[in-house]
Amino acid sequence: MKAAHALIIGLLLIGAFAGCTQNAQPTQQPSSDFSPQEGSETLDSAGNSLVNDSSEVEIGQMV
Amino acid sequence: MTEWIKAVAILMLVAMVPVAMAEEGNQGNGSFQGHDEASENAEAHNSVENESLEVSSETQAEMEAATTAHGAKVRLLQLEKAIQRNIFQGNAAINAIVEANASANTTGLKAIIEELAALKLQVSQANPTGGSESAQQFVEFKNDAIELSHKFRTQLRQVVRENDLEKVRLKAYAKSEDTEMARLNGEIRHETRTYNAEVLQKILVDIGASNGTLVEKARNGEAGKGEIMAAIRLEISSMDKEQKKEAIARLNEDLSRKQVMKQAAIAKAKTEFLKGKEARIEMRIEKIQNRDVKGLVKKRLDVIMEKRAESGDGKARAEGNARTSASGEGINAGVDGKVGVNIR
Repeated sequence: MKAAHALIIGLLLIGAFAGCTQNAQPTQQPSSDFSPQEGSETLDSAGNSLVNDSSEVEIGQMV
Repeated sequence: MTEWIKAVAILMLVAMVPVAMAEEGNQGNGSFQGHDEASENAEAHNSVENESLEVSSETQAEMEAATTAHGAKVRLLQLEKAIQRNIFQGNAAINAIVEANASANTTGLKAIIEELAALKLQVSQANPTGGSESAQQFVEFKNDAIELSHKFRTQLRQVVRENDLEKVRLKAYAKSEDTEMARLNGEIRHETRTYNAEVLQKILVDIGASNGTLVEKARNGEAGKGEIMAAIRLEISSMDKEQKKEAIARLNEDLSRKQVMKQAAIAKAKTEFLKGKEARIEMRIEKIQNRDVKGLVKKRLDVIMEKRAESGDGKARAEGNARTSASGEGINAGVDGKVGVNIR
C-alpha cells in the first residue's frame, strides 16, 4: 500500500512539474528599464519595415 | 490487481491534465504561426459579393511600408505586378479553353479579365502621399484584386471539368513574363531601394547616428535588408546603456505611430467597405471600353448597391434602381452550366 501511495504522489508531482514548465512564458522586462531583449525586439520590428527586393504581394492564383 | 491498474490509470490521467492545459495555452499564443495565407484568402472570398473586409496577417505586414509615400508606391507596384501576372495567366487559360472547345462560353471570364485590367490601371494611377490613407488605399485595391481573381477561379471551375483543370493550369503558367512585367520589376526595384534608404535614414536619426555611405549603398541596391540591420545593430552596440535606452525608446515611438496609422486604415476600410467598393467599381466602369463588359460590371455594381441599401442606406437603393432602369436590362452573359472541354 505504501508503494501505491509513493507511486501516486510521484505521478502527481511529475504531472504538475511538466504543466508548470510548459506554462512558463518568457517574461518581459519592465519598460522603465532598458533590457537587451526588448531592444532586440524593437530593432527586429524596425527592420521589418524594410522591403526585400524579392518580396511580392500575393492575390491568389487564377486556375 | 485490477484495482491497482485502475488506480494507476486514473492517476496518470489526472497527472496529464496540467500538461494538456499548458499545450492548449501555447496553441492560443501562436495562432498566426504556420498559418496558410493562400488558403485563408481562398476561404475568405466566395463567389458572391463580399460584404465585409478581411485583412490577413500577411496584408497587415505589407501595410507597414504602405504608411509612407515611397513604401505605398512599392506595395502598389507589387500589387500591379501580381494583377498583371493574373491577367496574363487568365488570358492563357481562356485561350486554352477556346482552343479545346471553340463553343465554350468564356464571356464571364473575359469580363473579369477586363475588370482586372481596369483595376490595374486604377492602381497605376494612384498617387500615394503616405499616412493611413495610403495604407487604406493599398488594402482596398488588394482586396479587389483577390476578389476578382477568386471570381475567375470559381467561374473557371464552372466551365472546365475537374480532370481538365491541371491541363489548363499547365498552359496558363507556362510563361508569365512579358515586357510589362519587366517594366514593373525595374520600377519595383528602384522604388524599393529608395524606400529602404529612407527607412534607414529615419532609423539612424532615431538612434542618433549617421552613416551616409550605408544610406547611399541602400539607395543603389548595394546593401540589402540583412546588411542594413547588421550595421544598425553595430551602431547600437557601441552605445552606452543610457544612449541605447533613448535610441530604443525613439524607435518604439516611431513603431507605435505606424501601428496607429495601420489600425486606423484597417478600421476605415472596414467601415466604408461597401461604399468604397461601389466607388472603385464605378471608376473601373469608366475605364472599360467594351460595351458588353461594361454591362456585366454594372450588374455587379447593382448587386453591391442592393447590399448597401439592405445594410441601411436607402439612398443607395434608390440610386441603384435608377441606374438599372437607365442601363436597360443589362447583359446576361454569365456562364450557364458546365461545358466539357478536352484540352490537348
